[in-house]
Amino acid sequence: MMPDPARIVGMARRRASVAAAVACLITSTAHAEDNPVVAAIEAAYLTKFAAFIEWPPGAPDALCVLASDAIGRLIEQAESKLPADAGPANVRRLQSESPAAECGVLFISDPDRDAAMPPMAPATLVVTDRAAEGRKGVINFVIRDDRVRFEIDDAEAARRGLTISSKLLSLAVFVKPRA
Amino acid sequence: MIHLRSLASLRRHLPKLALSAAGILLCLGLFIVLQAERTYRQERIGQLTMQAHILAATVTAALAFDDRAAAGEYVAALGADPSLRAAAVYKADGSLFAGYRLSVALPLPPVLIPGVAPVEKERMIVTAPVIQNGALLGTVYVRILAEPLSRRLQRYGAIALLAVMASLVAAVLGIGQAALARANAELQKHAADLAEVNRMLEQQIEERERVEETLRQAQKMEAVGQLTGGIAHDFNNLLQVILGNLDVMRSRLPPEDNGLGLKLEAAQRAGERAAVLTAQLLAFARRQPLDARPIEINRLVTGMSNLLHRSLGEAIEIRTRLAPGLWWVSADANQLENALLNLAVNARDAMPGHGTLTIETRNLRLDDDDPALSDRLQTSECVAIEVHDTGTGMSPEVIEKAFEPFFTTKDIGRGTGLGLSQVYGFVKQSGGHIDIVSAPGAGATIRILLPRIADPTGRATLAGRAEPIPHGQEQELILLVEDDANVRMIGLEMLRSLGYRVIEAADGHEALRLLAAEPQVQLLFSDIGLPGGLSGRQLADRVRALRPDLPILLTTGYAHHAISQAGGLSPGIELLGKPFTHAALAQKIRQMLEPGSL
Repeated sequence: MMPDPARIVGMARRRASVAAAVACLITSTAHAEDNPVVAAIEAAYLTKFAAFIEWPPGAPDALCVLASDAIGRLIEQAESKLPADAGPANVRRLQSESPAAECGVLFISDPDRDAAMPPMAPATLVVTDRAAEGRKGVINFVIRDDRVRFEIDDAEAARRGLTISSKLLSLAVFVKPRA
Repeated sequence: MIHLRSLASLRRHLPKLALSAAGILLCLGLFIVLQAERTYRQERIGQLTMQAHILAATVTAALAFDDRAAAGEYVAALGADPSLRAAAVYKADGSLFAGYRLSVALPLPPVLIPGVAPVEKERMIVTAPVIQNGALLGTVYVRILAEPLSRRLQRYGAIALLAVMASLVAAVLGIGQAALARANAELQKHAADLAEVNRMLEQQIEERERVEETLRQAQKMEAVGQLTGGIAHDFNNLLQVILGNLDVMRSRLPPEDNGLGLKLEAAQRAGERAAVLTAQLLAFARRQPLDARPIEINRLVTGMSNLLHRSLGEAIEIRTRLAPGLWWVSADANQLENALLNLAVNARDAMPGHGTLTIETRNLRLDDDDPALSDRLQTSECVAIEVHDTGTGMSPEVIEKAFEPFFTTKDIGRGTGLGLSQVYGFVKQSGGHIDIVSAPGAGATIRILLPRIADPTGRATLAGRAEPIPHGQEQELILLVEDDANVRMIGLEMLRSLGYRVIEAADGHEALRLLAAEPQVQLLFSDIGLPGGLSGRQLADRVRALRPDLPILLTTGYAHHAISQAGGLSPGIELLGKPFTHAALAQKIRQMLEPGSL
């Protein structure tokens, strides 16, 4: 018998809730810039998110990176490994002041930045790296059990008109559900 | 008939057909089982493939984001299927990503090369690629244990049972049909046997009817014979009186008789004709006195040549085929001549205008021909006398009645109907057999069989004819014994007219007394039928003891007793049938008193 997919998702969510609770106990300060392995993984994940996200029609499709050059290169490398039609067409490195109107995915790697979010299109998937509460994007990388995982704010995704695949949701360590 | 034959052939081939049907049913059952098994495998593979694809679709994100735990959960969730033995997710590079096993004894392939699905017999394995947005992320591997053989056999058992039952029914039907066919053949054989038995029975019944018919005919002849014999005997005595008196009257007639002599002669002729008729009747009744002696038939037939030519005329050619070395028979020569003459005259009448009469004699051994006839004649050796004619022949109906007295096919006045019956009676009385072979238009053959006797030392003499009447001498004394006074008187008259001296007695005892008293008696002339407990035959025996050399002449009109049998009379005893004529008596007595004189 084939397990009910809904059941799998349910299980994943429960698992995610437990993971979120555990995440609160672990204090990690290591950022992508500190650890090249984590940075490489995050870069690889970043290029794969697009496959599980549905943008509203007419949304921009560039993968914009607001991070160090090292991370930007990693992302460019990861992107180049993907097939042509899998994911955003190009990678753009932004400066903090650069407008982000063209970005389908915006990765902000510096959590300590106090600067406000750059102006962006409404349907932009913001991915943050271990950001503090209140500064998290739709997806936020976290470290769990020495592995790179992520949280998803599905409510924020809804506000931005994005639909996130349940497959991706089921992998998140924490999901903030839609209203 | 064709329909029956095709039916019979179908019945013959039915057992084979039934066995073939049974075989086909079994094959069909096997085919159904195999088909069901194949379908089952296909369906199971289909289900398995679906499961693999669902898993592949589910684990895309886990593979993409390297979440082994999540992938492991998805894979383990498949374990809810009890037939699942193992499931795993492999990365695009073939390395194991996440796996599930029912037990540790079930190993998972450590590396899975995408696109190559391991195939195993008992287990079913399906792999499916994990693709997200066209990129191959990895491969899903699902393995189940095929349904156990026992479970499958259980499932197919019903079908197998049905097939076996059906083939059994067909086989039993076939065997039953074969047994039925065999029984049928047996029955047909029995029916044929029964028909054969029935046919034999019908044959036997037919044979029996034929024998009964013959017996009935013989009994009829016997009854008619007794009747006619009785009448003829009485007539003979009457005729003896009439003829005797006529004889006496004629002998005493004066020379001038005024024509009385002619009238007496006419009366005498009529009386003689009547005597012939009664003789014929007696012959048929087998009661004529027979003077049976050993005879040579060839001589007799040769001697009849002139008589036959005279009787049959020029138009009839007479042939004889006389076998040399013919055996001797015992018969009354006169009567045999009479019989042959009768047959010849009959043959002539059957050949109006012209024709050929053949008299054939030959020796015949009956053993080979007719055992039944041989039994009746009490000998196997006999002499056959056959009279063939080329005349009109007889129908079976005529043959059947031919020997009956007064039966004639001739015109009224031409035949008495006594000819053949006389012959018949004579032959039977002589211990022989007579039969007729004839068909209308094919002539007729009348065959007389007479039993053979041993060759006698002396030659028999054939009765003479037309001799002058020899007279006796005064000194010759004859003892006449006769119970009927009238007949005795005639006898007395006749003997006296012949010149003999006569003394008379009315019975045997008186005769014996007279014989003792009169030693001059030279001849005893006695009737056979005498009253007083002593018959003529017994008297003759007594006299023989007293006077062995005394000639004895017996007379009777009714002599079917032992005397008639061949050799029934001992030497020195002669027989004279009634009514006898003056001349016959004269000749007989002379012959006895002077042996060799005639």
